Amino acid sequence: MKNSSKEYQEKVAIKQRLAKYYLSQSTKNGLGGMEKVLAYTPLEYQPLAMRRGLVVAQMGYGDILALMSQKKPFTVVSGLNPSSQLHLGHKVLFDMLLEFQQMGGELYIPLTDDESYIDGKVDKLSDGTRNAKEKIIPILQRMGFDLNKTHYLVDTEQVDLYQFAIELSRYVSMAELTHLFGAESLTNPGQVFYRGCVQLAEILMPQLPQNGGPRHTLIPVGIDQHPYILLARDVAKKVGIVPPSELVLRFFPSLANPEKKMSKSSPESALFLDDNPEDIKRKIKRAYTGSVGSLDDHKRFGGVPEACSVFALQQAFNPNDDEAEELYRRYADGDLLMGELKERTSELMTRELAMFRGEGV
Amino acid sequence: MQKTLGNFVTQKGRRRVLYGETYDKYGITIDSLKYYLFLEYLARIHDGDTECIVVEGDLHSVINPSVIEKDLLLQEGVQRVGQINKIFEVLNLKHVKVKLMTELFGEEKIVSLVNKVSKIVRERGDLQDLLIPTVLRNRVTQEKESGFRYAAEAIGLALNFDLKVGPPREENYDKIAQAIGQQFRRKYSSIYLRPSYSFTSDFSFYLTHPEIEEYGLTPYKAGSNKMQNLRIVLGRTSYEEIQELISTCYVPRDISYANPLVDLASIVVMSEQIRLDKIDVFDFGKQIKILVQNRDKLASKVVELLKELV
Repeated sequence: MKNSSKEYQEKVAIKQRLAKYYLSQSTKNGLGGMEKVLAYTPLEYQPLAMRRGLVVAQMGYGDILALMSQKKPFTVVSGLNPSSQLHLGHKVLFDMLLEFQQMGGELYIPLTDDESYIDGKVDKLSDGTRNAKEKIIPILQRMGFDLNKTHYLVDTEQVDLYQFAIELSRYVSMAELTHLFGAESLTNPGQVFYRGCVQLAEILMPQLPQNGGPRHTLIPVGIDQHPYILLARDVAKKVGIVPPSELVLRFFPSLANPEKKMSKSSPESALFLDDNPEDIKRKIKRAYTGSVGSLDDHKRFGGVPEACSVFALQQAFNPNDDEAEELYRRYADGDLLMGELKERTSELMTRELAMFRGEGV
Repeated sequence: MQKTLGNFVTQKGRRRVLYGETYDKYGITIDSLKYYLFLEYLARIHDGDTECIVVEGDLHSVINPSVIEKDLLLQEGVQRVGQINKIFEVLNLKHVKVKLMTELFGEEKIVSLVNKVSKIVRERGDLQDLLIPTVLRNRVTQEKESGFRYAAEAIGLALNFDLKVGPPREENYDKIAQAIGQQFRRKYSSIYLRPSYSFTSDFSFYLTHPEIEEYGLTPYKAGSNKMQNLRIVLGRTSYEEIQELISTCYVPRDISYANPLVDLASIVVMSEQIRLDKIDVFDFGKQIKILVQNRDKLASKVVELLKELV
């Protein structure tokens, strides 16, 4: 390190900042780390994202593992805003949901067309509903979820959901809401009702009597969503149902900057599920890497895979654990050149996204 | 622990070591064997003369008012001493003796120290506060009323020895024992063996029972946490059941986490080295790893050993 180049040191600093961020986030507000979960859970019960370190924290996950261990069914809830253009960050989550389903999970996927409209992401409420039905559900169906164990719930069509939301409204105060979401996210009555009640109802509704009653439920979330789960756990206790368990995922990095989230607002630094092979190749070719510019220095110091937006794709999607590990080792040792990494990653992502283009896999 | 152990084995002269256990109606666990063998192992690697005492806590096994059939349990203590003596003979444990607590509490020197410690604990609220975490919540009042008799007697007894060997949960007593020991100018040392675990096949067990993961089950009480059917009890668990438990239990990939096979392997390796009189601490870990990776071989060695003992 002492003799390494300034550029290399910058990449190491990115790696350190990311590690520090996730460590600080994963140990606050009652969250537990993943070390023991990974130590005790057999590999066949660890989704790819978990094996690759993309799950950084958990709360109450032991209850879900107990059900898996006893081969008993469990429930997973993961909502999706239908105004979103789906990108790889969504795919990490969908892949994990599919794996959980294969381990015995029953999926509830609320499609929050109400949220789309309330937040002004669509012009008409019906646009959000149409997006959910005509765009998002068909994409999700290509993931291969078992239809008998998957509930797609378009919010505005769920009478039970809204009735439950109204029931829950008495258990949440405005002060709690403002503290959790900030006044800037509560600018109209719809936002107050959605964030304070409907969102809670989405998380807790699998436990309604008509859906089978109280049971352990798993909610995979991004790290910024942990406060919602804390609120849901609190309300669940108040209404006498089971507080949901939580898995916290890392944000999926932008292709341009590993310290920023992949987002549709920056299309060239995001890979969308419907991108074609040329788009994929072009975007990956321009992506930020953890390798220094000089080939000599790369070989001398090695690379920093943790600070590489291209390696992040291998880490999240390469289905072969041994191959991913070997790539990591070669990268860190400076044996893997960026041309090869980008070429292999473009091929990998073209294969991974083929199903969304309606191509066979 | 390494420092304590290192100090002990290099100290010259006569040393007395204590391992105390209570018991329940289910019998002698294989986990107790680990402690008996460890005492002998320790004695053989100690430079000087070592006397190890296993105390069968008959009085403490019936001390709780909720215990029923106290007379039977007291009688069982006598029978256990007979069984344990036989085990010592078969395993060639020359440096270890077993005594009933009743017998030890008949010795004036021991009783004197126990009484002094009990008096201190009764009089000092700060020590009682430290002892609260050692008892179940629903028994705190009862223990306070008795002046934490169980703990005070256990500490008083242990202070008669140079070293105490026990399960990790005893660290709660040992902090207080060290404080009290200073008053009597007695150096109190203790070491803890790895926690004892059941042969559960549930891989989530230690994530949903973090306290058992950290401290283990009570090694000498088969009924600890009502897991008697998932443990090996001498003369009660059949050889077929032992093989089944060993072959079906879940163990994590990393040997340093909760793993009942490590204990079984250490029992097998210690007993072999002791009986062959070839103590080799450096080979010990290597042999354990080999056995843990071969469950069939481990099971057959455990069964072979138990056939001799029962």
